[in-house]
Amino acid sequence: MTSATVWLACPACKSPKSAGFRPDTASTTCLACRKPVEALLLPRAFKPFSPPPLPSAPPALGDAVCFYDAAQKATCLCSQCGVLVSDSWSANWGNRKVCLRCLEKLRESGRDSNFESSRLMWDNICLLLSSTIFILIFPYFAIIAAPATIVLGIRTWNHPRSLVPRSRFRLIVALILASLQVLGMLVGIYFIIQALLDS
Amino acid sequence: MSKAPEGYQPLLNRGTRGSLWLADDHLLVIESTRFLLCLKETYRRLDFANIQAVLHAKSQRGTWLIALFSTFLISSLAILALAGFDSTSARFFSGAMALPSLVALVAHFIKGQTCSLTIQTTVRPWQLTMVTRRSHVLQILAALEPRCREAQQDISINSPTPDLSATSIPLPPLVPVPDNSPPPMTGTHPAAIPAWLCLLAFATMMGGEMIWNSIAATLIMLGLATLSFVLLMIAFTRGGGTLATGGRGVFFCALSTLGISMLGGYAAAMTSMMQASIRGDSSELSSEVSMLRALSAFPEECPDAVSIAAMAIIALTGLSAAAGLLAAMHRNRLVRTSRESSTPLSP
Repeated sequence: MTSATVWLACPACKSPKSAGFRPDTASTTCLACRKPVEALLLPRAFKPFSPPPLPSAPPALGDAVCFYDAAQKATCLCSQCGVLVSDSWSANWGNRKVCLRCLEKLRESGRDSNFESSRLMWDNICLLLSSTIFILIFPYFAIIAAPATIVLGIRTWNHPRSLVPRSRFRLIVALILASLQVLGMLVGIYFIIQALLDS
Repeated sequence: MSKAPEGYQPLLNRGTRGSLWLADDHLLVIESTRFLLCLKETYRRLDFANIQAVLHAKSQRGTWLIALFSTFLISSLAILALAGFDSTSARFFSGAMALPSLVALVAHFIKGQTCSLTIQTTVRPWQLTMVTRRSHVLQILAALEPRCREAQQDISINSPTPDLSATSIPLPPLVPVPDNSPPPMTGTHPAAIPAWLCLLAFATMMGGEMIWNSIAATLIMLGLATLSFVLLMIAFTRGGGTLATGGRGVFFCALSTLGISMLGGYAAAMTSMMQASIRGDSSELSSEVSMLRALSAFPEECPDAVSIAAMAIIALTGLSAAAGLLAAMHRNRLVRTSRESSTPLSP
Protein backbone atom coordinates (compact mmCIF):
# COMPACT_ATOMS: atom_id res chain seq x y z
CA MET A 1 0.00 0.00 0.00
CA THR A 2 1.30 3.44 -0.87
CA SER A 3 0.58 6.21 1.63
CA ALA A 4 0.01 9.78 0.54
CA THR A 5 2.97 11.42 2.18
CA VAL A 6 3.78 15.08 1.76
CA TRP A 7 7.52 15.64 1.73
CA LEU A 8 8.46 19.07 3.04
CA ALA A 9 11.68 20.97 3.75
CA CYS A 10 13.00 20.60 7.28
CA PRO A 11 12.93 23.95 9.12
CA ALA A 12 16.04 23.02 11.13
CA CYS A 13 18.51 21.75 8.51
CA LYS A 14 16.74 23.23 5.43
CA SER A 15 17.11 19.93 3.55
CA PRO A 16 14.44 19.87 0.85
CA LYS A 17 11.81 17.16 1.13
CA SER A 18 13.31 15.49 4.14
CA ALA A 19 10.30 15.60 6.47
CA GLY A 20 7.46 13.32 5.44
CA PHE A 21 3.95 13.98 6.72
CA ARG A 22 0.73 12.09 6.26
CA PRO A 23 -2.71 13.69 6.65
CA ASP A 24 -3.13 12.27 10.14
CA THR A 25 0.35 13.10 11.48
CA ALA A 26 1.49 16.32 13.08
CA SER A 27 5.08 15.42 13.83
CA THR A 28 7.84 13.44 12.21
CA THR A 29 11.63 13.06 12.20
CA CYS A 30 13.76 14.72 9.53
CA LEU A 31 15.55 12.10 7.47
CA ALA A 32 18.60 14.35 7.08
CA CYS A 33 19.23 15.79 10.55
CA ARG A 34 17.18 13.29 12.63
CA LYS A 35 15.49 16.11 14.52
CA PRO A 36 11.80 16.02 15.41
CA VAL A 37 9.77 18.33 13.17
CA GLU A 38 6.25 19.46 13.98
CA ALA A 39 3.84 20.79 11.41
CA LEU A 40 0.41 22.27 11.02
CA LEU A 41 -0.79 20.71 7.79
CA LEU A 42 -3.50 22.57 5.94
CA PRO A 43 -5.91 21.26 3.27
CA ARG A 44 -3.92 23.02 0.52
CA ALA A 45 -1.05 20.56 1.06
CA PHE A 46 -3.24 17.70 -0.17
CA LYS A 47 -5.06 19.50 -2.96
CA PRO A 48 -3.42 19.59 -6.39
CA PHE A 49 -2.67 23.13 -7.40
CA SER A 50 -4.68 24.09 -10.46
CA PRO A 51 -3.36 27.07 -12.37
CA PRO A 52 -5.73 28.85 -14.80
CA PRO A 53 -6.22 27.01 -18.10
CA LEU A 54 -3.58 28.12 -20.60
CA PRO A 55 -3.90 28.90 -23.43
CA SER A 56 -7.57 29.81 -23.42
CA ALA A 57 -9.97 29.06 -26.28
CA PRO A 58 -9.93 31.54 -29.17
CA PRO A 59 -12.61 34.22 -28.85
CA ALA A 60 -15.85 33.74 -30.74
CA LEU A 61 -17.39 36.48 -32.83
CA GLY A 62 -18.61 39.24 -30.51
CA ASP A 63 -16.50 38.10 -27.56
CA ALA A 64 -14.20 40.56 -25.81
CA VAL A 65 -10.55 39.95 -26.62
CA CYS A 66 -7.50 40.32 -24.44
CA PHE A 67 -5.79 43.72 -24.67
CA TYR A 68 -2.35 42.12 -24.83
CA ASP A 69 -3.16 39.12 -27.04
CA ALA A 70 -6.01 39.40 -29.51
CA ALA A 71 -5.99 35.64 -30.01
CA GLN A 72 -7.25 35.12 -26.46
CA LYS A 73 -10.63 35.70 -24.90
CA ALA A 74 -10.78 38.39 -22.22
CA THR A 75 -12.03 37.11 -18.91
CA CYS A 76 -11.56 40.01 -16.52
CA LEU A 77 -10.75 43.69 -16.11
CA CYS A 78 -7.44 44.89 -14.71
CA SER A 79 -8.35 46.63 -11.46
CA GLN A 80 -5.46 49.07 -11.91
CA CYS A 81 -5.59 50.25 -15.56
CA GLY A 82 -9.02 48.91 -16.52
CA VAL A 83 -8.11 47.02 -19.70
CA LEU A 84 -9.70 43.70 -20.63
CA VAL A 85 -7.28 40.85 -20.09
CA SER A 86 -7.20 37.09 -20.42
CA ASP A 87 -6.27 34.66 -17.67
CA SER A 88 -2.75 34.30 -19.01
CA TRP A 89 -2.15 38.07 -18.88
CA SER A 90 -3.59 38.65 -15.42
CA ALA A 91 -2.62 37.80 -11.88
CA ASN A 92 -4.53 37.53 -8.63
CA TRP A 93 -3.25 39.84 -5.93
CA GLY A 94 -5.34 39.22 -2.84
CA ASN A 95 -8.85 40.08 -3.90
CA ARG A 96 -7.70 42.10 -6.91
CA LYS A 97 -7.00 41.09 -10.50
CA VAL A 98 -4.28 43.05 -12.25
CA CYS A 99 -2.65 42.74 -15.63
CA LEU A 100 1.00 41.63 -15.63
CA ARG A 101 2.30 45.02 -16.79
CA CYS A 102 0.50 46.83 -13.98
CA LEU A 103 1.74 44.24 -11.51
CA GLU A 104 5.33 44.83 -12.54
CA LYS A 105 4.90 48.62 -12.39
CA LEU A 106 3.22 48.47 -9.00
CA ARG A 107 5.86 46.20 -7.53
CA GLU A 108 8.91 47.87 -9.02
CA SER A 109 8.01 51.54 -8.80
CA GLY A 110 6.17 51.13 -5.52
CA ARG A 111 3.21 53.28 -6.34
CA ASP A 112 0.94 51.22 -4.17
CA SER A 113 2.09 50.05 -0.75
CA ASN A 114 0.03 46.86 -1.15
CA PHE A 115 2.29 45.77 -4.01
CA GLU A 116 5.70 47.00 -2.87
CA SER A 117 8.39 44.37 -2.53
CA SER A 118 11.03 46.42 -0.68
CA ARG A 119 11.90 49.85 0.67
CA LEU A 120 15.14 51.54 1.56
CA MET A 121 15.11 53.02 5.05
CA TRP A 122 16.55 56.42 4.24
CA ASP A 123 16.05 57.72 7.78
CA ASN A 124 18.13 54.87 9.20
CA ILE A 125 20.79 55.30 6.50
CA CYS A 126 21.06 59.00 7.39
CA LEU A 127 21.23 58.16 11.08
CA LEU A 128 23.97 55.61 10.50
CA LEU A 129 25.96 58.04 8.35
CA SER A 130 25.77 60.75 10.96
CA SER A 131 26.23 58.48 13.97
CA THR A 132 29.30 58.56 16.11
CA ILE A 133 30.05 54.88 15.43
CA PHE A 134 31.35 55.66 11.96
CA ILE A 135 33.10 58.78 13.12
CA LEU A 136 34.90 56.87 15.88
CA ILE A 137 36.13 54.26 13.38
CA PHE A 138 36.90 56.66 10.54
CA PRO A 139 37.29 60.21 11.97
CA TYR A 140 37.81 61.79 8.55
CA PHE A 141 34.68 60.10 7.26
CA ALA A 142 32.65 62.93 8.83
CA ILE A 143 34.04 65.43 6.29
CA ILE A 144 32.07 63.64 3.58
CA ALA A 145 29.39 61.93 5.65
CA ALA A 146 28.00 64.97 7.49
CA PRO A 147 27.25 67.09 4.39
CA ALA A 148 26.06 63.96 2.58
CA THR A 149 23.64 63.24 5.43
CA ILE A 150 22.21 66.76 5.23
CA VAL A 151 21.73 66.52 1.45
CA LEU A 152 20.29 63.00 1.66
CA GLY A 153 18.04 63.91 4.58
CA ILE A 154 16.57 66.91 2.75
CA ARG A 155 16.16 64.99 -0.52
CA THR A 156 14.43 62.04 1.14
CA TRP A 157 12.35 64.11 3.58
CA ASN A 158 9.11 63.17 1.81
CA HIS A 159 10.12 59.66 0.76
CA PRO A 160 8.05 56.84 2.22
CA ARG A 161 9.66 55.39 5.32
CA SER A 162 8.85 51.91 6.65
CA LEU A 163 5.55 50.25 5.78
CA VAL A 164 4.96 50.26 9.52
CA PRO A 165 4.06 53.91 10.15
CA ARG A 166 6.67 55.94 12.01
CA SER A 167 7.59 59.56 12.51
CA ARG A 168 10.51 61.52 11.09
CA PHE A 169 12.25 61.42 14.48
CA ARG A 170 15.29 59.43 13.22
CA LEU A 171 15.70 61.71 10.23
CA ILE A 172 15.52 64.81 12.45
CA VAL A 173 18.11 63.35 14.86
CA ALA A 174 20.37 62.49 11.90
CA LEU A 175 20.06 66.01 10.50
CA ILE A 176 20.79 67.59 13.90
CA LEU A 177 23.87 65.38 14.37
CA ALA A 178 25.13 66.10 10.85
CA SER A 179 24.51 69.84 11.28
CA LEU A 180 26.48 69.83 14.53
CA GLN A 181 29.35 68.03 12.81
CA VAL A 182 29.35 70.53 9.94
CA LEU A 183 29.21 73.38 12.46
CA GLY A 184 32.14 71.85 14.36
CA MET A 185 34.12 71.54 11.14
CA LEU A 186 33.38 75.18 10.22
CA VAL A 187 34.47 76.38 13.66
CA GLY A 188 37.63 74.28 13.33
CA ILE A 189 38.38 75.77 9.91
CA TYR A 190 37.78 79.29 11.33
CA PHE A 191 40.27 78.72 14.15
CA ILE A 192 42.86 77.24 11.77
CA ILE A 193 42.57 80.29 9.50
CA GLN A 194 42.81 82.59 12.53
CA ALA A 195 45.92 80.79 13.73
CA LEU A 196 47.46 80.99 10.26
CA LEU A 197 46.69 84.71 10.02
CA ASP A 198 48.12 85.35 13.51
CA SER A 199 51.31 83.49 12.71
CA MET B 1 4.51 50.34 20.56
CA SER B 2 4.66 50.92 16.81
CA LYS B 3 1.53 51.53 14.81
CA ALA B 4 0.27 48.96 12.35
CA PRO B 5 0.28 49.44 8.58
CA GLU B 6 -3.13 50.36 7.20
CA GLY B 7 -5.41 47.35 7.06
CA TYR B 8 -3.12 45.13 9.14
CA GLN B 9 -3.17 43.72 12.65
CA PRO B 10 0.10 43.11 14.51
CA LEU B 11 1.14 39.49 14.97
CA LEU B 12 4.81 39.59 15.91
CA ASN B 13 7.15 42.56 16.06
CA ARG B 14 10.85 41.84 16.61
CA GLY B 15 12.10 45.35 15.88
CA THR B 16 15.03 45.37 13.47
CA ARG B 17 14.82 41.58 13.00
CA GLY B 18 11.50 41.90 11.20
CA SER B 19 7.82 41.63 11.89
CA LEU B 20 4.63 39.80 10.94
CA TRP B 21 1.29 41.46 10.22
CA LEU B 22 -2.12 39.96 9.54
CA ALA B 23 -4.43 41.21 6.80
CA ASP B 24 -7.86 39.88 5.87
CA ASP B 25 -6.51 37.51 3.25
CA HIS B 26 -2.75 37.34 3.72
CA LEU B 27 0.18 37.42 6.10
CA LEU B 28 2.66 40.24 5.56
CA VAL B 29 6.25 39.29 6.38
CA ILE B 30 8.62 42.22 6.81
CA GLU B 31 12.28 41.15 6.68
CA SER B 32 15.20 43.47 7.31
CA THR B 33 18.62 43.88 5.79
CA ARG B 34 20.69 45.14 8.70
CA PHE B 35 23.97 46.79 9.37
CA LEU B 36 23.63 48.03 12.97
CA LEU B 37 20.28 49.49 11.92
CA CYS B 38 17.63 48.24 9.50
CA LEU B 39 18.70 49.62 6.12
CA LYS B 40 16.23 47.87 3.85
CA GLU B 41 12.88 46.23 4.38
CA THR B 42 11.65 43.41 2.17
CA TYR B 43 7.96 42.62 2.07
CA ARG B 44 6.43 39.23 1.37
CA ARG B 45 2.73 38.57 1.29
CA LEU B 46 1.66 34.99 1.90
CA ASP B 47 -1.95 34.28 0.95
CA PHE B 48 -3.81 32.27 3.57
CA ALA B 49 -5.34 30.26 0.73
CA ASN B 50 -1.90 29.24 -0.56
CA ILE B 51 -0.30 28.18 2.72
CA GLN B 52 0.21 24.42 2.75
CA ALA B 53 1.91 23.90 6.09
CA VAL B 54 3.58 25.65 8.99
CA LEU B 55 6.64 23.66 10.09
CA HIS B 56 8.72 24.21 13.18
CA ALA B 57 11.62 22.43 14.86
CA LYS B 58 13.90 23.01 17.79
CA SER B 59 17.01 24.93 16.70
CA GLN B 60 20.63 24.72 17.85
CA ARG B 61 20.68 28.45 18.66
CA GLY B 62 19.72 27.86 22.28
CA THR B 63 22.58 25.42 22.87
CA TRP B 64 25.09 27.85 21.37
CA LEU B 65 23.71 30.72 23.48
CA ILE B 66 24.00 28.64 26.65
CA ALA B 67 27.56 27.63 25.68
CA LEU B 68 28.50 31.27 25.01
CA PHE B 69 27.02 32.74 28.20
CA SER B 70 28.32 29.85 30.32
CA THR B 71 31.82 30.31 28.89
CA PHE B 72 31.75 33.98 29.88
CA LEU B 73 30.42 33.10 33.32
CA ILE B 74 32.97 30.33 33.93
CA SER B 75 35.81 32.47 32.54
CA SER B 76 34.94 35.34 34.85
CA LEU B 77 34.90 32.98 37.85
CA ALA B 78 38.19 31.43 36.70
CA ILE B 79 39.76 34.89 36.47
CA LEU B 80 38.55 35.65 39.98
CA ALA B 81 39.99 32.36 41.27
CA LEU B 82 43.32 32.90 39.49
CA ALA B 83 43.73 36.49 40.60
CA GLY B 84 42.54 35.86 44.14
CA PHE B 85 39.31 36.90 45.83
CA ASP B 86 40.98 39.81 47.63
CA SER B 87 41.90 41.68 44.49
CA THR B 88 39.44 44.56 44.00
CA SER B 89 40.18 45.00 40.31
CA ALA B 90 39.69 41.26 39.66
CA ARG B 91 36.40 41.34 41.56
CA PHE B 92 35.24 44.36 39.57
CA PHE B 93 36.32 42.82 36.23
CA SER B 94 34.76 39.45 37.02
CA GLY B 95 31.56 41.10 38.21
CA ALA B 96 31.32 43.22 35.07
CA MET B 97 31.76 40.08 32.96
CA ALA B 98 29.70 37.66 35.03
CA LEU B 99 26.63 39.79 35.75
CA PRO B 100 25.56 40.45 32.12
CA SER B 101 26.27 36.81 31.26
CA LEU B 102 24.14 35.64 34.18
CA VAL B 103 21.32 38.02 33.27
CA ALA B 104 21.47 36.88 29.62
CA LEU B 105 21.46 33.23 30.68
CA VAL B 106 18.45 33.71 32.97
CA ALA B 107 16.64 35.71 30.26
CA HIS B 108 17.35 32.96 27.76
CA PHE B 109 15.82 30.34 30.06
CA ILE B 110 12.79 32.54 30.75
CA LYS B 111 12.19 33.14 27.04
CA GLY B 112 12.02 29.39 26.47
CA GLN B 113 13.12 26.93 23.85
CA THR B 114 14.60 28.20 20.58
CA CYS B 115 12.82 27.23 17.39
CA SER B 116 12.96 27.79 13.67
CA LEU B 117 9.79 28.16 11.65
CA THR B 118 9.06 27.68 7.96
CA ILE B 119 5.86 28.41 6.10
CA GLN B 120 5.38 26.12 3.11
CA THR B 121 3.35 27.73 0.35
CA THR B 122 2.35 26.36 -3.05
CA VAL B 123 5.42 28.12 -4.49
CA ARG B 124 8.23 27.41 -2.00
CA PRO B 125 9.07 27.27 1.69
CA TRP B 126 9.67 30.61 3.45
CA GLN B 127 11.87 30.67 6.51
CA LEU B 128 10.72 33.31 8.99
CA THR B 129 14.02 34.47 10.45
CA MET B 130 12.41 36.72 13.03
CA VAL B 131 10.80 33.71 14.73
CA THR B 132 13.33 32.27 17.16
CA ARG B 133 11.34 31.07 20.18
CA ARG B 134 8.68 28.45 20.74
CA SER B 135 6.41 31.07 22.30
CA HIS B 136 6.48 32.97 18.98
CA VAL B 137 5.64 29.77 17.11
CA LEU B 138 2.61 29.08 19.31
CA GLN B 139 1.44 32.66 18.87
CA ILE B 140 1.76 32.40 15.07
CA LEU B 141 0.03 29.02 14.91
CA ALA B 142 -2.86 30.30 17.01
CA ALA B 143 -3.33 33.24 14.67
CA LEU B 144 -2.75 31.47 11.34
CA GLU B 145 -4.65 28.22 11.78
CA PRO B 146 -8.22 29.60 11.91
CA ARG B 147 -7.54 32.10 9.12
CA CYS B 148 -5.95 29.53 6.80
CA ARG B 149 -8.68 26.96 7.47
CA GLU B 150 -11.33 29.57 6.74
CA ALA B 151 -9.61 30.54 3.48
CA GLN B 152 -9.25 26.89 2.49
CA GLN B 153 -12.66 25.67 3.65
CA ASP B 154 -13.72 24.82 0.08
CA ILE B 155 -10.79 22.39 -0.27
CA SER B 156 -11.48 18.83 0.78
CA ILE B 157 -8.73 16.29 1.42
CA ASN B 158 -10.66 13.28 0.15
CA SER B 159 -8.14 12.77 -2.62
CA PRO B 160 -4.90 12.89 -0.71
CA THR B 161 -2.55 13.64 -3.57
CA PRO B 162 0.34 15.73 -2.35
CA ASP B 163 0.70 19.05 -4.12
CA LEU B 164 4.32 19.46 -4.99
CA SER B 165 3.96 20.42 -8.62
CA ALA B 166 4.83 24.04 -7.97
CA THR B 167 8.21 23.27 -6.43
CA SER B 168 11.24 23.14 -8.64
CA ILE B 169 12.87 20.20 -6.87
CA PRO B 170 12.12 16.76 -8.34
CA LEU B 171 9.57 14.74 -6.43
CA PRO B 172 10.83 11.99 -4.16
CA PRO B 173 9.19 8.62 -4.80
CA LEU B 174 6.36 7.67 -2.52
CA VAL B 175 7.50 4.69 -0.49
CA PRO B 176 5.60 2.36 1.79
CA VAL B 177 5.81 3.85 5.26
CA PRO B 178 4.66 1.57 8.06
CA ASP B 179 2.78 3.20 10.90
CA ASN B 180 4.99 4.95 13.49
CA SER B 181 8.13 3.40 12.03
CA PRO B 182 11.19 5.53 12.72
CA PRO B 183 13.32 6.62 9.76
CA PRO B 184 16.58 4.72 9.24
CA MET B 185 19.40 5.35 11.67
CA THR B 186 22.73 6.47 10.33
CA GLY B 187 26.09 5.72 11.89
CA THR B 188 28.78 8.18 12.86
CA HIS B 189 31.01 9.96 10.37
CA PRO B 190 34.33 8.17 9.60
CA ALA B 191 36.18 11.09 11.23
CA ALA B 192 34.35 10.70 14.54
CA ILE B 193 36.24 7.71 16.00
CA PRO B 194 39.71 9.14 15.14
CA ALA B 195 38.59 12.46 16.65
CA TRP B 196 37.66 10.83 19.96
CA LEU B 197 40.89 8.81 19.97
CA CYS B 198 42.90 12.00 19.41
CA LEU B 199 41.02 13.72 22.22
CA LEU B 200 41.73 10.78 24.52
CA ALA B 201 45.41 10.95 23.57
CA PHE B 202 45.33 14.71 24.18
CA ALA B 203 43.94 14.20 27.69
CA THR B 204 46.58 11.56 28.39
CA MET B 205 49.34 13.84 27.10
CA MET B 206 48.00 16.68 29.23
CA GLY B 207 48.24 14.50 32.28
CA GLY B 208 51.65 13.18 31.24
CA GLU B 209 52.99 16.64 30.54
CA MET B 210 52.73 17.48 34.21
CA ILE B 211 55.32 14.77 34.86
CA TRP B 212 57.29 14.76 31.59
CA ASN B 213 58.69 18.27 31.51
CA SER B 214 59.43 18.80 27.85
CA ILE B 215 58.58 21.22 25.05
CA ALA B 216 58.10 18.22 22.74
CA ALA B 217 55.29 16.98 24.99
CA THR B 218 53.61 20.37 24.83
CA LEU B 219 53.88 20.48 21.05
CA ILE B 220 52.46 16.96 20.69
CA MET B 221 49.65 17.95 23.04
CA LEU B 222 48.82 21.04 21.00
CA GLY B 223 48.92 19.00 17.78
CA LEU B 224 46.56 16.41 19.22
CA ALA B 225 44.15 19.11 20.44
CA THR B 226 44.09 20.77 17.02
CA LEU B 227 43.68 17.44 15.23
CA SER B 228 40.84 16.29 17.45
CA PHE B 229 39.08 19.66 17.06
CA VAL B 230 39.44 19.57 13.24
CA LEU B 231 38.25 15.96 13.03
CA LEU B 232 35.28 16.67 15.32
CA MET B 233 34.28 19.66 13.21
CA ILE B 234 34.62 17.61 10.00
CA ALA B 235 32.37 14.92 11.47
CA PHE B 236 29.92 17.57 12.67
CA THR B 237 29.70 19.52 9.40
CA ARG B 238 30.06 16.73 6.86
CA GLY B 239 28.03 14.21 8.84
CA GLY B 240 25.08 16.57 9.20
CA GLY B 241 24.98 17.30 12.92
CA THR B 242 26.02 16.31 16.39
CA LEU B 243 24.79 12.73 16.03
CA ALA B 244 27.46 12.12 13.38
CA THR B 245 30.02 12.52 16.15
CA GLY B 246 28.35 10.07 18.51
CA GLY B 247 25.94 12.28 20.42
CA ARG B 248 24.90 15.82 21.18
CA GLY B 249 26.00 15.86 24.82
CA VAL B 250 29.45 14.35 24.30
CA PHE B 251 30.12 16.63 21.32
CA PHE B 252 29.39 19.85 23.21
CA CYS B 253 31.16 18.57 26.33
CA ALA B 254 34.27 17.79 24.25
CA LEU B 255 34.20 21.20 22.59
CA SER B 256 33.85 23.01 25.93
CA THR B 257 36.62 21.00 27.61
CA LEU B 258 38.90 21.57 24.62
CA GLY B 259 38.20 25.30 24.78
CA ILE B 260 38.62 25.45 28.56
CA SER B 261 41.89 23.47 28.49
CA MET B 262 43.34 25.72 25.79
CA LEU B 263 42.13 28.89 27.54
CA GLY B 264 43.22 27.51 30.92
CA GLY B 265 46.63 26.68 29.50
CA TYR B 266 46.92 30.17 28.11
CA ALA B 267 45.87 31.73 31.42
CA ALA B 268 48.36 29.55 33.29
CA ALA B 269 51.13 30.50 30.87
CA MET B 270 50.32 34.16 31.42
CA THR B 271 50.39 33.65 35.21
CA SER B 272 53.74 31.88 35.10
CA MET B 273 55.13 34.60 32.84
CA MET B 274 53.96 37.28 35.25
CA GLN B 275 55.46 35.42 38.21
CA ALA B 276 58.72 34.98 36.29
CA SER B 277 58.79 38.70 35.54
CA ILE B 278 58.14 39.53 39.22
CA ARG B 279 61.08 37.31 40.18
CA GLY B 280 63.20 39.20 37.66
CA ASP B 281 63.64 36.22 35.38
CA SER B 282 61.90 37.79 32.41
CA SER B 283 64.21 36.95 29.56
CA GLU B 284 62.59 36.46 26.20
CA LEU B 285 63.50 32.75 26.07
CA SER B 286 62.06 31.94 29.46
CA SER B 287 58.84 33.74 28.56
CA GLU B 288 58.56 31.78 25.36
CA VAL B 289 59.24 28.51 27.14
CA SER B 290 56.66 29.35 29.79
CA MET B 291 54.13 30.14 27.09
CA LEU B 292 54.73 26.86 25.30
CA ARG B 293 54.88 24.75 28.41
CA ALA B 294 51.74 26.01 29.95
CA LEU B 295 50.73 23.04 32.00
CA SER B 296 54.19 21.87 33.04
CA ALA B 297 54.47 25.14 34.89
CA PHE B 298 51.51 24.33 37.10
CA PRO B 299 53.12 22.29 39.87
CA GLU B 300 56.07 24.64 40.29
CA GLU B 301 54.78 28.10 39.48
CA CYS B 302 51.10 28.23 40.21
CA PRO B 303 49.10 28.10 43.43
CA ASP B 304 47.56 24.83 44.57
CA ALA B 305 44.06 25.92 43.48
CA VAL B 306 45.23 26.24 39.88
CA SER B 307 46.87 22.82 39.96
CA ILE B 308 43.61 21.33 41.21
CA ALA B 309 41.73 23.15 38.42
CA ALA B 310 44.20 21.78 35.86
CA MET B 311 43.70 18.25 37.20
CA ALA B 312 39.94 18.75 36.96
CA ILE B 313 40.20 19.96 33.35
CA ILE B 314 42.39 16.98 32.41
CA ALA B 315 39.95 14.58 34.06
CA LEU B 316 36.97 16.22 32.34
CA THR B 317 38.66 16.08 28.93
CA GLY B 318 39.55 12.43 29.43
CA LEU B 319 36.04 11.57 30.56
CA SER B 320 34.37 13.39 27.67
CA ALA B 321 36.74 11.72 25.18
CA ALA B 322 36.03 8.29 26.63
CA ALA B 323 32.28 8.97 26.69
CA GLY B 324 32.39 10.20 23.06
CA LEU B 325 34.31 7.14 21.95
CA LEU B 326 31.89 4.81 23.71
CA ALA B 327 28.85 6.68 22.34
CA ALA B 328 30.19 6.58 18.77
CA MET B 329 30.98 2.86 19.02
CA HIS B 330 27.57 2.14 20.59
CA ARG B 331 25.79 4.06 17.83
CA ASN B 332 27.66 2.24 15.09
CA ARG B 333 26.87 -1.10 16.73
CA LEU B 334 23.15 -0.18 16.91
CA VAL B 335 23.15 0.74 13.21
CA ARG B 336 24.85 -2.54 12.32
CA THR B 337 22.31 -4.48 14.38
CA SER B 338 19.33 -2.67 12.84
CA ARG B 339 20.72 -3.25 9.32
CA GLU B 340 21.19 -6.92 9.97
CA SER B 341 17.73 -7.38 11.51
CA SER B 342 15.55 -5.41 9.05
CA THR B 343 15.47 -3.80 5.65
CA PRO B 344 16.11 -0.08 6.06
CA LEU B 345 13.66 2.52 4.80
CA SER B 346 14.87 5.25 2.58
CA PRO B 347 13.22 8.42 1.35
